[in-house]
Amino acid sequence: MGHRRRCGKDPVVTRLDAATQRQIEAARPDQSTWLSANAGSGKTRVLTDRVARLLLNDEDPQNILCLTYTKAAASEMQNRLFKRLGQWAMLPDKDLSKALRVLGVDQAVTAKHLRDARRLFARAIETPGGLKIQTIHSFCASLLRRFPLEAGVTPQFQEMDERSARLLRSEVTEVIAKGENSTSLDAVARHYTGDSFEGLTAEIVKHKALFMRDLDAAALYGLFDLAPDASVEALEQEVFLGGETALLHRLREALQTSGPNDQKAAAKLVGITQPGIVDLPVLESVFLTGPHAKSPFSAKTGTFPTKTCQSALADIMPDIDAWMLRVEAARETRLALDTIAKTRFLHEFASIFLQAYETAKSNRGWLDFDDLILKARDLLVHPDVATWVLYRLDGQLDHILVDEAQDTSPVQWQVIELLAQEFTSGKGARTDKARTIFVVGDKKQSIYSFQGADPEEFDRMQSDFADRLKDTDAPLKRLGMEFSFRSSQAILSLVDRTFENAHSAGFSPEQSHKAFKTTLPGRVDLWPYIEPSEQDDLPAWHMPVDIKAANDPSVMLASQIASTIKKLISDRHPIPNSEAEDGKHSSRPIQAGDFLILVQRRGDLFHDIIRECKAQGLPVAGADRMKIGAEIAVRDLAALLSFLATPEDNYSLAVALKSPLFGWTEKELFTLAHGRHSPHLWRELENRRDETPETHAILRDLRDKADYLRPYDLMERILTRHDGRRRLLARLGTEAEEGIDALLSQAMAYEQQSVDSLTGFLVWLQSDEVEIKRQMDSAGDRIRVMTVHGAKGLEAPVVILPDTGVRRSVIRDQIIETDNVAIWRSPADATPRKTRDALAQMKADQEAERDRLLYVAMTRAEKWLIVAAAGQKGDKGDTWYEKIEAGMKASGAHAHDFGGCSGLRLEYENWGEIETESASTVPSDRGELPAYFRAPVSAKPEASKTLSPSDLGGAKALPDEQGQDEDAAKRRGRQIHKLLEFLPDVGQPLWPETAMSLLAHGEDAATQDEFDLLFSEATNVLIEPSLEFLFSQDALAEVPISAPLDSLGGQRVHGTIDRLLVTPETVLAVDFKTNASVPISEHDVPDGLLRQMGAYAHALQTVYPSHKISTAILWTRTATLMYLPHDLVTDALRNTQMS
Amino acid sequence: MQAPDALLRGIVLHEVLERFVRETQTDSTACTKSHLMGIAVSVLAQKVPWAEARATWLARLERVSDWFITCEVERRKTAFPNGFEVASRTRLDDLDFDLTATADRIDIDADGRLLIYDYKTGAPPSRKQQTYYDKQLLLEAAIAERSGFKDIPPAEVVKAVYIGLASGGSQVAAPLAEEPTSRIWAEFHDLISTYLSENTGYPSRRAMESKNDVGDYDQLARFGEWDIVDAAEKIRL
Repeated sequence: MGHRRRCGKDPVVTRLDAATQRQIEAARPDQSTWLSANAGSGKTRVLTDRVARLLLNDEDPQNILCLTYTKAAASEMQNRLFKRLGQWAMLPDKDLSKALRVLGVDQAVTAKHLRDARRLFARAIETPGGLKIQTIHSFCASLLRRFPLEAGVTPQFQEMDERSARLLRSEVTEVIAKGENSTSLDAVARHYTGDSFEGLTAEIVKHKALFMRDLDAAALYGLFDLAPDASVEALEQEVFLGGETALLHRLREALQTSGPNDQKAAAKLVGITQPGIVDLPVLESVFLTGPHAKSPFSAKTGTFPTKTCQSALADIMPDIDAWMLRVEAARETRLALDTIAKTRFLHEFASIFLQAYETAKSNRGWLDFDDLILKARDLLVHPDVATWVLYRLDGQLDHILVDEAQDTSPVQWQVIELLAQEFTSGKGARTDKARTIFVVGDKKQSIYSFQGADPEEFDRMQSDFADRLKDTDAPLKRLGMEFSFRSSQAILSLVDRTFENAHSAGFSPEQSHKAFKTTLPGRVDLWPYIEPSEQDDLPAWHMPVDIKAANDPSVMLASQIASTIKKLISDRHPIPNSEAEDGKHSSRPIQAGDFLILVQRRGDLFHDIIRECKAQGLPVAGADRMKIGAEIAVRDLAALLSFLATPEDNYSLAVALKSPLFGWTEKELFTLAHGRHSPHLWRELENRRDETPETHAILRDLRDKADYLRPYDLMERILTRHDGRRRLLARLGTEAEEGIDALLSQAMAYEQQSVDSLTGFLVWLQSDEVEIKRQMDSAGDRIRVMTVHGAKGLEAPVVILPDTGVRRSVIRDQIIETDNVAIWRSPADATPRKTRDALAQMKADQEAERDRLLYVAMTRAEKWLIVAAAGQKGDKGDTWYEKIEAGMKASGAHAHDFGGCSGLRLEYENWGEIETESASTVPSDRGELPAYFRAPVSAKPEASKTLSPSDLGGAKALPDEQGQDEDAAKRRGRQIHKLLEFLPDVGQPLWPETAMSLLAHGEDAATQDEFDLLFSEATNVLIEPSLEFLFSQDALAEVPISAPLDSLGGQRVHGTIDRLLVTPETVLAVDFKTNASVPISEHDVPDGLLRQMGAYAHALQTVYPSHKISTAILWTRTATLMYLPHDLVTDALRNTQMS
Repeated sequence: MQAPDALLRGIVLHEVLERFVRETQTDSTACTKSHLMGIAVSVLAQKVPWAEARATWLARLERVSDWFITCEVERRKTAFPNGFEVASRTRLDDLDFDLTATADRIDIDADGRLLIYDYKTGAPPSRKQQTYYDKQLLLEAAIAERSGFKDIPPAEVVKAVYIGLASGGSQVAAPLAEEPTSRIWAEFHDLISTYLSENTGYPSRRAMESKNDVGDYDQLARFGEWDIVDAAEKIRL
């Protein structure tokens, strides 16, 4: 296991401390609860506990809905719950009742409780449709599938992925561009600076709710504080009163003869002949101050033009000044009108686009992720169907649990509210049942605004639910969990200090942190900032030297990190253990898997660190997300496929040859390519096939197949038949495997969407950067490098934050939502105040979210947090580095020497020396492959048949019986056997009656004549005193036996022994034989019978290895028991000819 | 299935400008926005089968068209367009090495001196980039003075300018004064003779401006199995 958060120490905590008590309280299944949980406080545990306790309370598993934020979280929770319930099923009474008490079951634990608890696992597994632990998207999808008619979706709808959405958007855009509405697209294109409509249409879809309704012109004017009659014409009249042409003429003349600044101004004005509204931008650039001035965009009255020039124009200066002021006053209105005009074009296009897009989606039966939520919401509010749907659901949802509630978006909350409304209003279908809602989250950890999360909503919804539950029997209980089960006090105090004033980001003094492990030592280091050094001169262009990476700060930091980790590991630096004994935490040597390196984004630094770690020979898990197209193994395969599709593609063939697939050296390729006779490399290779027969054979084979095999099969042929997978992995390492497999699944996905041509697949592959996520929580003993977002829910003994330097918040959105209107943003210097304010707010929100991101990052650390930064140093106090630095100083950190440079260190408790010697080693995942994997598998041996002891061959009757009716003899045998099996169970007086009924029916029913003979024969046996012991209570009847016999070459026999007598030392097996003629001595017993008894004897010997085994035949005709010598039957068995 | 990409946009835009300058070669009063946009519409219709790309590219050109016309009129004041997409080849005799080039456009002024222009659909290279990486115009100027271009005999180059058509338009001149063609040519000779020496290898990604730049031959060079911090490995072929 890696370091996924571990909540509590299973199975039992004896001391009921405050932190655990709070967990138990929060998990109480009969109370609606709103839980604010600090990082590391064990909220997933509470959630799991609560579900377990609901189940213990006999709630039907299918009436519980648990909503998680990601699919991974859902399966993680499900696994944890099943693990818990599975343990319960196996625990002895004492341990189980202890476990239940720890969970908080406070009533007396009865035997019934224990029985029920053990059954929960089966109950939960057997729930029809499973326990509903899922994401809200999956839940909404299942809702829509259940009520497709009501929701107006096709029952077979598909959830569309990002790629299909993008292709569809561009398809729809293209149709509009070609169609009758192309002018609306042209109008937008005129103002749009993007390369294609791709980005813009994505934003339109994102804000579709705002575009679906009509744009209210009056409201738009109001939004920008414009008078309802404001217009370009009116504005022109305000600025240009009539005399400006003359003014401009005089002004320009004066400027041209003045100083250089004035001349520059004149140059700008040169294009204007008759000043009008279109010239305003130029006039502003001359008349008004710039964007960075003390008071930006104000008239330069008194300072423009220069003094001398002003005096030359003294007579008209008042007019010019007044004009300048008019230009200043008009600016805001001009920008607002501009933005309104653009916004209108956008809305016009957007409504056309969205209409076409929605039609296209519904034609294909596709829904995107937002649709799932929106349509589910609509389903629950639609007046015609909502009541019906809710009525149907009402019988089924008694308890709703919401995880990561801080990341729930407003629309998602609407869905949850609607689901809960029935029972919060107390009007549910079954008022007799206790029904609860449980919400757990942490506003401070809300980092998914780009997916629509709004942390404020967390508080709003809390009071909303509190209000609604106020007057019910079970009002909402609000709880907080402040204890961290994860981190040392050193880290937690720093966290509190760092976010002391970050109220706007959601931090409050009430939610400060306490360490559960009060004596756990901790450390926080702040490394000195690595600032860029003077840039070296670049080498001259005509000197062909190899330019290697320069002294780039991020490379330097990456190398410092890697060498620090390397030294710590080789020094066997101690790291405290999480678990304490008598309040004391012992230590163990640090190892690679202890390190978690968190960056803000996968930029240069991210890749530099992975590269440096690899270069220094440290075990490092690769990037947590990879673009499969960038993977070198994928490119090799793609090159080979490109060549197969187009054999004239020399470059692709050359790449393939040099790839591990063929493993050519530079020299080999050069020898083939240089001075070749044919322009085509492939032709040359074919002509000279004798030089490289192996390569040629493979390529020839693939070329022959390329036109027939599907891309997937073709790749499989390369990878498996031609050994490509092994070759790639051997040279590129096991991490190449993920890329290869992702490529294969892309081929599968492609086949499902299109005609599977090779060329088509290659184009499809290039048309998108397919990214895959790697699960990083079980990276083994390797350093993990990932983004903070990706590390949510993870923890590690040592966390390094190297990416804490300056980061500008950039808003890339084209469409800005303000006051419920979608505004098209203008370039930076042409943004009206309203949009500026909205942008400023967005930036502030972004800053607040970055604070929360830092909180998530810092709280991943258990014992040691290392903070570093590289690049231009910030000085505004808004970088993570500065914030942590301030927090550390406030916490009393002292100066510390880090490799010659001074930084800060904060310590708590004694870090300690290593006491326990051995590091817990995680088994390497690269073990030696056992030899048999390399050897070809030998032909599969034929499965051996199980033999029947009575079918081992050899005669079964004495010679004088030969020729008798075999079927009749067998029938007689079965009849006698039946009597001998069942008659001993009843008293002798009942024998005739019982025997009658035994032989009255079925295919072996006897006639009266037969019956008399059979009955007398059986009776003779049963009343024979010497045989009495065979029919006593101690004898076992009809004993099946099955065993492999060495004497039969390991073949298995399976048969039924008529009577078996087992004593502590001996075993006697007796078989009834109904032969008409009975042999005189054991040496006359037919061979087939001896073999059978031999088989029994040997089989029994394997079951009773220390008993003495003997066998005997009971001849029913004479009611005599004949013991068979062991050697006799053994010999007979050995003589058995295997067929 | 080909997609509308930057390469195609460059080709199309070059053709629009070439046709525009050709058609107005002798009559600079025909240098109007409507004339330019008319040509653009017809070239786009011919060369670009995607309506969305046509609309976007046309709008882009339209945004920069006023600026382009204004400076085009200025350009015509000193010289006249003479060569379009003209090729040349110059020889380094002692090294048995040919340098070939194609210039987007060459104008000739009243004194018979040359002005070389290069259209850029993106941002033109900065002065510093021209010193260390982008030698195109400087070398074209050197060629023009040595061998001339097709039908344009060798002559002094007074100006070599990148005309950038992105974001409002911008012109960046090659630093002919600071890096005179004689020096550039000597440096070029150095470069080639060093490469031709047996001890100089041909390292991949030799002078990348940014470590994130993508080279056309990265995969053939197995970039990724080595990294930019590794030293080059010498292989004798």
